[in-house]
Amino acid sequence: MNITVNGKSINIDNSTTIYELSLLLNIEADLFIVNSFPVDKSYILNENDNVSLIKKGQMPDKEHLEYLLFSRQGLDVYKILKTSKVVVCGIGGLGSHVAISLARSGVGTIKIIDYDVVEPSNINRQSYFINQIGLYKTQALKNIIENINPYIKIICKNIMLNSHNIINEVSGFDVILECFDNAETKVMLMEKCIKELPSSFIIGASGVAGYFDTDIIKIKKLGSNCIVVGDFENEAGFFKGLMAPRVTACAAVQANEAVKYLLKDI
Amino acid sequence: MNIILNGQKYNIENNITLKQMLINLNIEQKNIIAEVNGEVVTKDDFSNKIINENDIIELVRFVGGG
Repeated sequence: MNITVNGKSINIDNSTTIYELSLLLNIEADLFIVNSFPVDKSYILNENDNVSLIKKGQMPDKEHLEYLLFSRQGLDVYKILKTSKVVVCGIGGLGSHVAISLARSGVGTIKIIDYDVVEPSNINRQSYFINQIGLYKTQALKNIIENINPYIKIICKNIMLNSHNIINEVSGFDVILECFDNAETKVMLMEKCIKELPSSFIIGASGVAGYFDTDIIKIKKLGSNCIVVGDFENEAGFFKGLMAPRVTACAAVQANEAVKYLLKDI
Repeated sequence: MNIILNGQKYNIENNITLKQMLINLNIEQKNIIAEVNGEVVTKDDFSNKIINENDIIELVRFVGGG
């Protein structure tokens, strides 16, 4: 029967256990994952099983690592996300976390757009490090993502988006993520993209400030190709700060909605 | 006439524009995008969009922070 081991298709006898398989292939392993779920070494393999064999404490070779990264996600999901393209507009508190979450998920092409550099007031909620202060956010985020998933394409653009350049920069992507800080810029992106890019799915955010309940974070739809995540009231202002837990929670909802949309056909 | 605004029933004047409806209901228009019966209406069109009986209107307000 046919199974897949660490991304490669092989033929084995019926009633082979996963431990016997590891001996057969001479792959040392102490963590056995089948179809995205960890199993005991006595697990008897079935036709079409997707198997990951992992040895803890040991760096796998590059050929297998890409597949091992997605052991808990499944090959079908991996294949679809690998061919997907998303663009993240603004990579601050929302966008840096959205981009990392989608890179971890294996989205194959991620364009990140921001004009700014990393500075000290970013660190409390954005995914950057102190030793990245002064770098362009696009370069800093690319460096982080390459340490998470080196198998995807990151396109960096250091520009300020406006109503004249937005369509040119974001057209051709499956999902457009609006992750700006400024309310007027959010509206600009939405108004331009909803009408002019009907084949892209647009995910915005509004109302992410403070440390209010996360259960007031809702998803509202705008037409057939756009949704917006947030509480729609808590804006940043004097004595109304932005903090990691709530901004990250909204970013995670945006990223989850992107994955849901990209995997809608399976 | 009756309409549904953000999930709630409202009684408003007959045949008014979206813009006039927002003014009458004392709703601030800044940074809002509307959806009327599933169709997106942006701010430039608020004064052209006529609201009819039983329309379902959603208002999405964009506030700063990210």
